[in-house]
Amino acid sequence: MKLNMRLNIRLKTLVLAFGILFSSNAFCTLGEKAVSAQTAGQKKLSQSNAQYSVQESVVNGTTIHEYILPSGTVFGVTWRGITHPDLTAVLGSYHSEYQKLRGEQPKTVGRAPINLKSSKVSVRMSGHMRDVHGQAYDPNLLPSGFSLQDFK
Amino acid sequence: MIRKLISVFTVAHAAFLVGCTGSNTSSAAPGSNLPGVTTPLNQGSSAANVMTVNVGNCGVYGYLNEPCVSVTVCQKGTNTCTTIPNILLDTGSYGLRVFGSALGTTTLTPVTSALGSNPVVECAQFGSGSTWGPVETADVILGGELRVTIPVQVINSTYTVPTAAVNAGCTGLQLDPSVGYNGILGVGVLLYDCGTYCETHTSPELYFKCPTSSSCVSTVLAKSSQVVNPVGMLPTDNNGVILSMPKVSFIGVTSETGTMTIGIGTESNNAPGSVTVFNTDSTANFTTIYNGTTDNKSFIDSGSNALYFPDSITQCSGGSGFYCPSSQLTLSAVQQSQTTSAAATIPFYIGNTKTITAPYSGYNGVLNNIGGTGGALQFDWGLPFFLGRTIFVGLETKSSSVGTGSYWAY
Repeated sequence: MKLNMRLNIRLKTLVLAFGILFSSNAFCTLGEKAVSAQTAGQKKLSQSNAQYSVQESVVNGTTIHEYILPSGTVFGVTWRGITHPDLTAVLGSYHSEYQKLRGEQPKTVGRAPINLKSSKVSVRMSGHMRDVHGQAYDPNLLPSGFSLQDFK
Repeated sequence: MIRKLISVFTVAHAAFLVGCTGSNTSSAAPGSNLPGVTTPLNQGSSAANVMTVNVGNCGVYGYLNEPCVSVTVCQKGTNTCTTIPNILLDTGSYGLRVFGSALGTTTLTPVTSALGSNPVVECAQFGSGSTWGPVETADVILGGELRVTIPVQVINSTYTVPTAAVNAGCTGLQLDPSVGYNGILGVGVLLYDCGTYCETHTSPELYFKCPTSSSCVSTVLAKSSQVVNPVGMLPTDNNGVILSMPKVSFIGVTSETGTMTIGIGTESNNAPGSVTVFNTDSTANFTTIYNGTTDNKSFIDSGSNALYFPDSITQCSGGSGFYCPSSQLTLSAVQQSQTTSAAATIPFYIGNTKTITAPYSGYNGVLNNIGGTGGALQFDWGLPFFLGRTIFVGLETKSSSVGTGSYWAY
C-alpha cells in the first residue's frame, strides 16, 4: 500500500492535505455520488474547495483518482496501474457509451493511445506494459474553469 | 486460496456498492546450438549479436514507423523451428509474443500453474489494446546468439477471455497479424511482463489458469513462469540492447534499415563509449519536462510509431488524436534521469500528420516528425526519437560499464 506516496495534485487554489492515510478497495463511479473518504476508507488527497476535490483508492494494484464536485458527484476519474481497473465499475452508466465508441473506432495504424470522445463521455487509455493509464470524464459535468490538464 | 481472494473481491465490490449508490513461416534448422552446445548459430559475416531492424518495411500488414525483426522460435530442445519475420521490436514491453498462426508446424510446451496443473493463459495489456493467449515454453533464438528456453505468449483464441478480465481492460484484442505484425519482441528495460506483483496477487487480471477453455480464473504466477525478456536470459550479452536507427529527412523515406546489437560493453562491437545515462523507476518511467510540466511517467517506446504527449497543438480532423499544425513546429523538451541529475534537451519536430504521411501507402514510411496527443504526465518517446540515434537499453539488475539497469542511454 502506498501510504507514504506523495501525490502532487496541483489544484488551482487548493491547500493539499496529505494525512488521512487509508488504503481501500472502494471507489466511486463516474456520474454518481461519491462517499466521503472517511466512510469509504479512501485516501483523501485534497480538501474540498468551491470547485472540486480529489480522492484516491487503490484497487488490485491500480491507483484510482476520483474528481468530485461539491455536490458529491464524480465528474472525472483517472487511473494507472499494471492493468486497467474494472471499467464497468469506474464508468457505470457511461460504460455502454464507452463500448459503443470503442466499437466505432476506426482501425488505427500502429500503436497509439486510445482517445474516445462523444458529447456524453471522454475516455483515454495510454501508457505501456506494467504502467497503463486512463482518464474518463463527463464533459457536461466539468466545473467552470477546470482545465483537462488538471486531471493527473 | 482462490476462493479467499474471490471473497475479498466480493467485499470490495460490496463496499463500492454501499459507498456509491447512485505468417510467413519457414522452417529453420539451427542445429548448431542446441541447449548446452556453445557454438553460435550464425557463423556468417555479420556478428552473432547483431540483428537487422527493418523500419517501414514490415510486410503487407506493416505500418508507418514500425520497426521489426525476425526471430526463430523452436520447440523446446529440438530442431523443429520457425523463423518468424515482421515481429514488432518494442522497447515498451517485455517478452516475446507471437501469433499462433505464425508458428507454422512448430508446437510449444504449455506452461502450467503450480496449483492444479492447469494451462496458464495471459492477457497482456499495452497502452492500447491487449494480447490474449496461453503462455508456452519455447527455445528462442535472437540473431546468432545461443538459444534461450523461456516462456512466451502464443496469441490465439483457444481460451475464452473471462468477463472479469474484459472489465479490467482486456479489450481491443489483437486477433491476427493484420494488426501489423506476426508478434512482439519486448526488449525494454525490465525483465518480466508483470514481475513480483503477480507472484503474490491474483488481481490484476493478468495471468489466468484455465481448467477448461471457458473457465479461466486469475492466478498468481512465479516469475520463472512469467513471459520474460529473452535478452535477460542469454548466457552472455544479457545486460541490454543497443538500437541504432538511421536519420531521415523531414519528408521521410519509404523504408530504412537499422540494427539491434545485443549486450552493452560485452563484445568488441558494443562498447558504449561516452553516453548520458537516464535511470528509470521500477515501471520503466523517467521524467520529461515539457511546456512547463514535469511528466514523470515518460518512457521510450520503439513500438509507438509517433511521439505522443499532451499539448494543445491542432489535431487532425477525424478524432485520431494525431497533430496537424498548419506548418511544422520546432519544439524541445528536457529528458531527466529518475534517480540522478543527468539531463539533456531534445529538440523535436511535429509536422502536419495528414500532409507528411500522404506520400506513403499505409504499410510503409519512416517519418521523424509525426506526433499526437497522449496521457497526462506521460511523454511517449516513440520511434521518431530513435531515428538518427544509437540508444542503449540497460536491463534492470544487470550491470554494464555505464551503470546498473534499469536505464537507457545515448
